[in-house]
Amino acid sequence: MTPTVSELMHDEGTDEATAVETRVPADVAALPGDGRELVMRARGLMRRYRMGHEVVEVLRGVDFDLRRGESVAIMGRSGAGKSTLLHLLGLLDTVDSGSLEVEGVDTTRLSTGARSRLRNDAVGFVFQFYHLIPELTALENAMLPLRIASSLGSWMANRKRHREEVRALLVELGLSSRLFHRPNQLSGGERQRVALARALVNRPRVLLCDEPTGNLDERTAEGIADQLFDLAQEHGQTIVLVTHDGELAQRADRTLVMTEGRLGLQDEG
Amino acid sequence: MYKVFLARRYMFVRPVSYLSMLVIGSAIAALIVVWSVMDGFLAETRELIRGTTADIVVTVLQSPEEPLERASLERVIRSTPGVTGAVSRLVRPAIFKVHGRDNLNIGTTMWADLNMVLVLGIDAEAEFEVTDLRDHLTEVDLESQQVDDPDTPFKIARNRILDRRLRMAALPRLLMGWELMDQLGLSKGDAIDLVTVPDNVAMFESDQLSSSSETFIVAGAFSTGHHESDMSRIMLSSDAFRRWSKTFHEVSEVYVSVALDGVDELAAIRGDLEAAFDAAGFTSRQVIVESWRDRHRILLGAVENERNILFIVLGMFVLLTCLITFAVLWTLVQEKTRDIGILSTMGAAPLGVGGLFTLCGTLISAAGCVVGLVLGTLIVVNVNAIKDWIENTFGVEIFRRDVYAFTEIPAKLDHGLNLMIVVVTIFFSALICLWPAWRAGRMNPVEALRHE
Ligand SMILES: Nc1ncnc2c1ncn2[C@@H]1O[C@H](COP(=O)(O)OP(=O)(O)O)[C@@H](O)[C@H]1O
Ligand SMILES: [Mg+2]
Repeated sequence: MTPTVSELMHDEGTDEATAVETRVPADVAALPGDGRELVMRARGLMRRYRMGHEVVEVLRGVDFDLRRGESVAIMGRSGAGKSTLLHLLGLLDTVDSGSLEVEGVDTTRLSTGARSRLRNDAVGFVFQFYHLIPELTALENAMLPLRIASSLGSWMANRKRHREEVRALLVELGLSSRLFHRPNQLSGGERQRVALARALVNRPRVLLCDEPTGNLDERTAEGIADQLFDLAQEHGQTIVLVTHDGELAQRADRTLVMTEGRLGLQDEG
Repeated sequence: MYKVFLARRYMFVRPVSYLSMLVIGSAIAALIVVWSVMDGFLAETRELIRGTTADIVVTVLQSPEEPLERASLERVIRSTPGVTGAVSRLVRPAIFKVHGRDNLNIGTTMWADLNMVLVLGIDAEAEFEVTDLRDHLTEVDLESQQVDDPDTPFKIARNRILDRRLRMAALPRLLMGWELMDQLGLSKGDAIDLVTVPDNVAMFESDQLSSSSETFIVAGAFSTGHHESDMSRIMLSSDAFRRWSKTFHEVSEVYVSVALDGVDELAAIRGDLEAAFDAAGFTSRQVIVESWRDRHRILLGAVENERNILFIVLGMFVLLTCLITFAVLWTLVQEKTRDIGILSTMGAAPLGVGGLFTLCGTLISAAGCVVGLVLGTLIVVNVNAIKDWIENTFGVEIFRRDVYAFTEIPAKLDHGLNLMIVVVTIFFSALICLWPAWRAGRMNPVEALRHE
């Protein structure tokens, strides 16, 4: 496997986040050995939280390249800033400094509305605690991103088709007999499958998964992971997977570790 | 698109939203019912007054020095454009007593506390042309009260006079409001003593202060449908009136009917009449021109005022109940913090989230409005059935005929106003929902997701 920019950078032992910008080649996509286009390109991402007088620097210059169709696992101890990074990549949060391009678009300059549209269109989230809406059935939960993306007119026109697509996706995930159940009538695994369907339903280019199996037993976790990788491959989707599960991380194309507010290569042994 | 869908799902699974709908709905129903009844009451009162009084009444203030002639007054009135008829009457209050009975029955009814009646001296032929007197004579239900012949109302066959001793006495006749007759237990052919009451300053200052009394035979009753008139009026022929009250005056009031296209026109014709009197040399101390609206402005104004005050009070109450939507929404936003985060991950914009919660609040008040409209309309349409049911079940009289002069509660739905109530309610609750909705919209999605 070819090392990506951030890995190369880390190998060079760069400490100063501010110095990063100058050392990165201008055209990353043109790196030898990898012709796939970049879906995301992050440089020197900084994120700090202010707690009273204290400032906690959670991300201290993260460099990260994501190529179309690859899967990346991110590991790291609790509190390392993995979720924070995912939120930044998913445009839920804004960086304090650094730059983030999504499909070649500089997101730091986008308006709130444009960020919301890009999020709806390009990104799907899966969380540890499923985060389904309790009032809606499995089918309705999974259809929600489509509703959000549609105007009234286009929704009315495509309602039937959308419904069938989502139903088919849920059936594929083994939920054919759970379509009209509410979240509190579903098991953890079933809930996570609904959440997975919801993340996939808009055909986003990137799936951001924050410990998707963290709350499930081993066997269920394995099943979900299978489905996650299968479906992503089927649709050529890119995966960023935060996990504590080494075995799960193994299934990704490569694994990065979050330490000291930076992303680096996994320690071998 | 998702906003309407989610708002409906959020609201229609929560018992508290049904409770709020019910509260808002009840307040709106109360507002609609009160307005409808008061407005119906006002319209009915107007209609009643309208039916028992002339369009315009010219009050003639007679003085012994220069008595005003009926013919000259009527000439001025009739030549005014818009006037379709005029009829002169003599008016005087009196005390009465049933002939042959000792007591005065003082205080038996509200309108006849002192056995006071208003005695009108009329010219039946002229009345038939201008007023509804003929109808009022034929509308009497009880046979024992009906006049022999409505065309000559003051005539009664001699053998119908009940007291045989009075049959040969050639006593003058009178007509009586049917309710007064009923109250006193009289039928036609009975006899009444009428005693004049001094009615102007000149009389107090002269030796005419002594009152005069005369016995009359009741020739029958009239029924105007107006409780007050039917309870406290007596009519004599103008000749009999003059003999009884020892006056030579020909007229104390002229009832004028006009052709009307609108309410404003009434005031215009009234003005024209005043000008015409002025031009003919009558002073404002001799004639007073008033439309029926002027004459009853205190009663009509009081009813209208009461209606408006109740509307304002209940309207404010309705707006107050809208605050419930605020409370419901505030807790909803609190409860739904995590959902707000999730919606953001799916690409819902802050404005969309704000819109979603505004819609939630608006949905409650809109549903409340529907409840209120349906409930209010049902109550208004069935108000008399409800009244009867309550009266029969609990044995209380909630709508007294002797107070209100109507047998039925008059109620009138004002669809335009109801629409306005709905629009204002929805607008107002949408307005107060903006604050919690705005809070929801600008919530940080990451913090919302971390929310426990
Ligand atoms: N809103 C916040 N305010 C203050 N500190 C925060 C906030 N969000 C996260 N943090 C801190 O940032 C650090 C990284 O959090 P997070 O990204 O959730 O870690 P991970 O997902 O790797 O476990 C933690 O130490 C956490 O306490
Ligand atoms: Mg985390």
